[in-house]
Amino acid sequence: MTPELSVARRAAEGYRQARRRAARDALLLALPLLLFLLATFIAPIGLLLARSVQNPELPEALPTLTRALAHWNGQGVPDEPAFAALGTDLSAASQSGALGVVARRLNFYQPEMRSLLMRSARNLPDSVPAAWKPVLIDIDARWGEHDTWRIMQRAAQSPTPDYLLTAVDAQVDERGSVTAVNARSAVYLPAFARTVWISAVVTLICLLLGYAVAWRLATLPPRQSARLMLLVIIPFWTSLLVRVTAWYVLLQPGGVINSLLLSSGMISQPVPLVFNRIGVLIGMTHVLLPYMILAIYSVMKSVPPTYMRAAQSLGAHPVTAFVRVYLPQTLPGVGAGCFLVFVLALGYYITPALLGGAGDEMISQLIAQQTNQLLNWGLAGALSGYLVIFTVVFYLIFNRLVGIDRLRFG
Amino acid sequence: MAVRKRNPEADIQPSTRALPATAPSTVADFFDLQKFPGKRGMRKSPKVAMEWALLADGVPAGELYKVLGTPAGVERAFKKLDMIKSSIVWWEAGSQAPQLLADGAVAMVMAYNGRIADAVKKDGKPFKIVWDGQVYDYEWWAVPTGAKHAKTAAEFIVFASQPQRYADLTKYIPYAPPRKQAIALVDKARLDDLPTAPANFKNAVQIDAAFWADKADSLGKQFQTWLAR
Repeated sequence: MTPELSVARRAAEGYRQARRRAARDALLLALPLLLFLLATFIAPIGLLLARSVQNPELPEALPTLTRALAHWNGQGVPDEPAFAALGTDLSAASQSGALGVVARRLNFYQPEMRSLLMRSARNLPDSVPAAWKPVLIDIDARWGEHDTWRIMQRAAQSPTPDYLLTAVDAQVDERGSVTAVNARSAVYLPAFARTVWISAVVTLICLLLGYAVAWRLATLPPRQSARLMLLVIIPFWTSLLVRVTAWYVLLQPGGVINSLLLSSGMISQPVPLVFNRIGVLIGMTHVLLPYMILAIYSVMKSVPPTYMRAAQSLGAHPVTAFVRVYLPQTLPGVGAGCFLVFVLALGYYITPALLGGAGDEMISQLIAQQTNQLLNWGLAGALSGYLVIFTVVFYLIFNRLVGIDRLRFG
Repeated sequence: MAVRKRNPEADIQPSTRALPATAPSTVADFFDLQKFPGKRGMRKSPKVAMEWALLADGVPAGELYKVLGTPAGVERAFKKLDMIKSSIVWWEAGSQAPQLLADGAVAMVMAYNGRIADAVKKDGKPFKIVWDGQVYDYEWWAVPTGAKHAKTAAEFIVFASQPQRYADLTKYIPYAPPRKQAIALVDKARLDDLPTAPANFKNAVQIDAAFWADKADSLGKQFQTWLAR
């Protein structure tokens, strides 16, 4: 090895070490934030998504029965050992207070399972009978039916695919195949479709409105543009709930807009602007517009005005110059804005809840219903999981088309 | 355990501004858009909405839950609701009901009687309660198993169940006492506001909690799909 080569090699080694040190220091600086995100954001979401396949209620409250059901072949009705397990576990669970959770879990499979369990527990004999099977079937004839036991066996399986299936309006039927749920009970797929549709429409409206505003802001002299920017930023900082409630006051049948239109004679009856799709679109556009404007504005600011002038000096019509020279340069901003608005709109809850009608429920409202009213965490986790998956897939496709990770914001 | 009777979502509320000549008097009038035009406010839940639909369709109160337990009965309730569906404004929070009525957004609303009485007394709104077809419920005190202060809680329940306590409660909200002895102690002026006043209690239905504990999930889903139709 020549002396020059070894010097160069040592220099390269030193450079690599300096780079590694810088990278390690950067990581240490970011570590508190990463840990915070992990603890307060990633971990809870991960736990919720994990709930979508967990099925602990029955196995924990009725352990002997779970073991007995594992040995059952799934045909007809199980034998005496399973009934004995059911009897002993029911009395133990009812005394310890764990029966309510199991009963509610079973009710998600089929209505009236809850009352079946509670009634059976209440009517159990005081002493252990010789044979549990006739006793239990006597308490309630449903214990002699195959369907009841099929459901018990499904509920004893952990992990379970049932929440994931219910979230797309499917179920496992008696023969063990996956079928679609009765059309009268199919709520989730239409809700997903509606959510995507509303988000897409809101994104389009925000794009059409926001592009013009961003262009004006980017081409005005700095002082005027700063003042106009305040008009965009200040509503952005106002509380979301306050803005949505203000829209209710404006849009209601006796509200400001209808009163103006009525008094000016343009209409004879109040126009329904709230509790329907129009109200939702207006409210969501209002809230999401600043994101679009700021995203496009930040890219437009970095587009030199000389290109447009050069194009026109070369003979292009102003419109042609705009479409073929200016517009393509702002596409990264448009892409970022559209992506941001679309993903935010997917998760929207308050605006459709307050301004929308019955046919405008978005998936977040259904998820909230599961967690707040029905206490079905498994289903909430499954619905959330599908939403997350959809967002990730959408991001990957969008990135492929527009190249978002090549963007710099501002 | 003590019981205290109150009346949730009992009543139809017509605003006397919007409905001049004849006033609605039965739950069937809620579903009659010809005689009483205007929007209707309803709670966004199958509970009570489906009971009212069947009552308005002529099902006697005693057979209500038997009919509602059959698929044909559910269909019948949805068909009746379909008659006013396009005019329904759905509310979710109790305070929205009197608000909708006050804003003129609806001509009649399903509401908690306490909220309406409040609006009438405190805000002087010209609301009238129609009691026909009221759906009432009991409230319960419950002490969880293994509670630390179970004995004190039991003593409180004994205290709260005295007739005078129930009578005093009606001073603040017109919820009826579940004890007959308390009725004699209630202020005469408030007796007519109570859901259990004889004039108000003619066609009352007690909500079947066991039925809804079983069926809320499945009927809720059917209600959801019906809403989105």
